[in-house]
Amino acid sequence: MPSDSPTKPQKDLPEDSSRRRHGFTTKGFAAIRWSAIGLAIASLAQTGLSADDTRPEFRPKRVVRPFPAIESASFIEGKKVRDEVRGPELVLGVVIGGKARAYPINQLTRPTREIINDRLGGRSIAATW
Amino acid sequence: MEDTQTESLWSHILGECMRGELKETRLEIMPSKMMTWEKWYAQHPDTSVMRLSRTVENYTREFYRKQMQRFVIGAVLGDAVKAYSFVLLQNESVIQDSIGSTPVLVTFDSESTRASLFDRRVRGAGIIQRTIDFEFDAKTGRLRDRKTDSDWDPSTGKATSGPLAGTQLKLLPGIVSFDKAWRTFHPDSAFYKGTRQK
Repeated sequence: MPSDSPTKPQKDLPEDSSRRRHGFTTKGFAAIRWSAIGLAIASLAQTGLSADDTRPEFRPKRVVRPFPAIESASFIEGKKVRDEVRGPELVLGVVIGGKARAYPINQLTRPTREIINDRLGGRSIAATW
Repeated sequence: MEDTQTESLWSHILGECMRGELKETRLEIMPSKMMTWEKWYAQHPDTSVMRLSRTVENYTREFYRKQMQRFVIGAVLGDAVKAYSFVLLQNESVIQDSIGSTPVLVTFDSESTRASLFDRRVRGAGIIQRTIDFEFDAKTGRLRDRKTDSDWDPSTGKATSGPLAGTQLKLLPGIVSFDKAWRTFHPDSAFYKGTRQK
């Protein structure tokens, strides 16, 4: 059962402050683990954030070990789905360049699954949960 | 999250690099929808779907239904940040509003716990852009625009009949989030208050 409690310990990813540069999290980061899902393209774009001087410094509060990135998840056609995903299960759906893709949330949960590096409709994207 | 090239640290919810070489770089948030598989597949029969093993089983429509008060859909449009609680969305089903200077339509389907955010501005036959003014009849579930009396599908954002049939509203990058997480990352966010308090 997910929680948005920032203090909830994670069994499979213990605290590891010796590898701080690899991990995250602030109080807020802990919350996002179970919170939002969005799709973000991986191509970078500088935007004007110069007004951010007032923001507090980013200070990770808890650090988790890094885990291998998922770069080649398996995909099937929706019409061939049998039990891979069921009707009432939630998916994150996106359409890019006329191509539709669904990421079942029940497959995106737990830290090693929360970032899917992917390509769709000619764009490099990351599905995050 | 961390990128493997520079080991910079990124925020999922902001799509922004928080620390490291790429600090303050932002990823573009792509418009997406969270909904039940059956509804997604009905609307996108050509969809592909990721196939990994399930790590959990609990993310079905019941997950949101039983704790509506904990969730919002929010968006950052330019300098404007605004969120809509699932409770108000459930009560109103369709919300016509603005986020900063962007006129928006927020629609909700409690059956599939889908919340979607659309831009109400569409291009007509010429280069003229117009803002659609919607009216929703909660009794019949009919969503129509006042000017042409066309019917619209609140789930897809597409006009289904009438003079504007076939017109598609642009889906905006709304993010479904825990209310608490949204407030943590967007401390200056505006919140929709509901029609009664206006």
